[in-house]
Amino acid sequence: MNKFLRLTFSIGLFMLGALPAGAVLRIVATTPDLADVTRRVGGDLVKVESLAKGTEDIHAVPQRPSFVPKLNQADGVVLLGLEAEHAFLPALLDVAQNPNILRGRPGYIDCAENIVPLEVPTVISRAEGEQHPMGNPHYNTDPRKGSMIADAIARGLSRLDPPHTGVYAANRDRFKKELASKMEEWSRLTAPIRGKKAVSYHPDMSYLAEYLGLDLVGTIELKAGIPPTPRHLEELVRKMKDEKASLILREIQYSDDTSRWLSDQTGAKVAAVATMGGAFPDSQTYFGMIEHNLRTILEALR
Amino acid sequence: MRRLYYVLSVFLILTSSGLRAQYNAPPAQVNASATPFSQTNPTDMGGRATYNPSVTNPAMGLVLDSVAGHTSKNQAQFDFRSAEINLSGAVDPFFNLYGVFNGTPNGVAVEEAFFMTTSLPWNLTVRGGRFFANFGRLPHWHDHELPFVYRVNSLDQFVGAEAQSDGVEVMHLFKTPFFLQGTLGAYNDIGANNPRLNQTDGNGGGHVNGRPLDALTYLGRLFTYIPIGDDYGLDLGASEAFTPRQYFVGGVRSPDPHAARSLTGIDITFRWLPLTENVYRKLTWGTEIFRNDEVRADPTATVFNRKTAAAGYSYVDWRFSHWWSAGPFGDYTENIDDPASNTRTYGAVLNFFSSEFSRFRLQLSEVQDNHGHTPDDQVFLQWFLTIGSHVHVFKDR
Repeated sequence: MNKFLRLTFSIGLFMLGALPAGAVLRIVATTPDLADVTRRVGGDLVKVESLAKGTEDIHAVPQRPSFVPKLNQADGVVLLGLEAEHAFLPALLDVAQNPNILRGRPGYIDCAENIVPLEVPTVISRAEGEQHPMGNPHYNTDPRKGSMIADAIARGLSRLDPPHTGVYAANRDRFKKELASKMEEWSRLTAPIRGKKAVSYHPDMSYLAEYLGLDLVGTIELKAGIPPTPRHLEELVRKMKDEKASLILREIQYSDDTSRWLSDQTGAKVAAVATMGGAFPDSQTYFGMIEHNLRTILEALR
Repeated sequence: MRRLYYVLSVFLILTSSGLRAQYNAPPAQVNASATPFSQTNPTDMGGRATYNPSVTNPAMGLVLDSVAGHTSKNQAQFDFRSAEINLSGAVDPFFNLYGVFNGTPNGVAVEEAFFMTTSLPWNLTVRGGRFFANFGRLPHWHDHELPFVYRVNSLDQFVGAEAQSDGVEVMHLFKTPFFLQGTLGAYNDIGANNPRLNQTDGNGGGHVNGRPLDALTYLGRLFTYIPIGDDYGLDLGASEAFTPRQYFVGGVRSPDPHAARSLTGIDITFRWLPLTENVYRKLTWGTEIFRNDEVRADPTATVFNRKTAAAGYSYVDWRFSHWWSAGPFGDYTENIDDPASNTRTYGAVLNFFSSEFSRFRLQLSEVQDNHGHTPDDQVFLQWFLTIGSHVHVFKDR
């Protein structure tokens, strides 16, 4: 071997490095709204990044290799759970080589741990489209679930950092107090929505609809994850007219074209809503996401 | 050997910079749910699960891949390509096990069967058994996953069809702020159909039941990702599969002690994956270039000369709606024995997706050579469907 090779070999053998022991927990959240709640609960004790930006379809968040080092070096991962992130998170966790954040480990912070899910399928078959076998995972759109999300995150951070359990509990309680205050305000604001009928593009607005007293009469998709066929759209137009559905919830990640066409056919108004924080400039936080959705629905129904 | 030392040196430098011995025995399962919900009845908070012997069964799936085609050379054919069963599951907290069993017109074969570690320290993953070696990008894709109906000539002839190999591989995720993955491997050879590395004389003689260490094939690979804004990204990979000595060339014992074989590959994949409406819109442009350098025998098998040949492919897949994608592809492959001869393939595909579990593909293509032979005009219709376990793996992104 020549001198250069010997030198590089030696450097390779003797170079040592270690990541500095951080004073903060490095947390990766799957969505911007979960990242926001984690920052609220963790305060200065956490450094949080979100994998999704918020404008994506959560079922199609790209598995960017740039996510891998973030997960590799994370102390915890915060997720919606109920297989919401099945299209990207399991594969990334496989490659990330971080056993501490795998399912069942202390760093795996599943915000669905105490959620009672809606729409748990009684028949599980691909003939029913792309189902979520454990139930509808889009509970983050219901502000009543915000306190359960904060609870789960506080528990997770406390597992990772027991000495600061009291801090996480106090931050969580502050968040819940602010949430309770906002919910009083939102209840008054959204009273006119109760009893109205609507359709959504994908079956991911069920929790928000239940909170608002909005009756969802159908989806633009033929079945979950299956785009509409012309026949299905004809039937949906008929149903919307029969039911006097006045609102179309168009989740931002789906094309506007079909929603606009449906609006032209039925007279229903389109509200562009978010299923994650970060989808709109005014929905960067968890509260922002909820408020954007409420405002845009009210505006559409005016 | 010098090439391998360079690869090993770089590997050690980057690995050492992130060495951290923090392997702990996996902690006990955390029961994160104080009041677990039941799938059958969301309001039932206190039911106990009864014993279910199937609960640890592996995940299982079935893939069907068939083609109907017509070529000017071979006329019409219905080609049942494969029915593939895949199994996977956790052995224990330390290992996963994977198996892929393929039924084809030629019989049933074990396509892959290997273990993979899940809890090694130092960002290491080891797998061993039979698997597709981590060489390049498309060489380790199953046929039904390819962006064209049949494996193009550059993959077929330079890699030897899929990069199937029996051996051991170590992967390391470097402790860098950007994604960088390295692979080192050792195998009998690489290539499901690569008789050139058999190291036998074809008559039952030679290294039949074992071979010298310098007759194994060794792999080094580096793979990285460069994000370009939020919507674009570039995958870059470099691979080297090196066999220090080929004892037999063309079935004849080679007198050359330096009859090494080197297969080098560069893979570049450009993606456009917009953050909005990306279920309908994305674009992938994939390119690989190969260089094969090995000693080849003349037709009399008495004269041995080193030949260096080049090959490569490029394709574009443009997903322009939820249902459809399309794009052109091309392949250029020099003959390994006579690099002055080459074949060129040009084609285009149109894909229809009724869901993410099925795909119907129409391909039009033409294969030409530089000897004036009549081009082979091809039309294929391929259908691919899958049932069972549905897992998005990293390499399929």
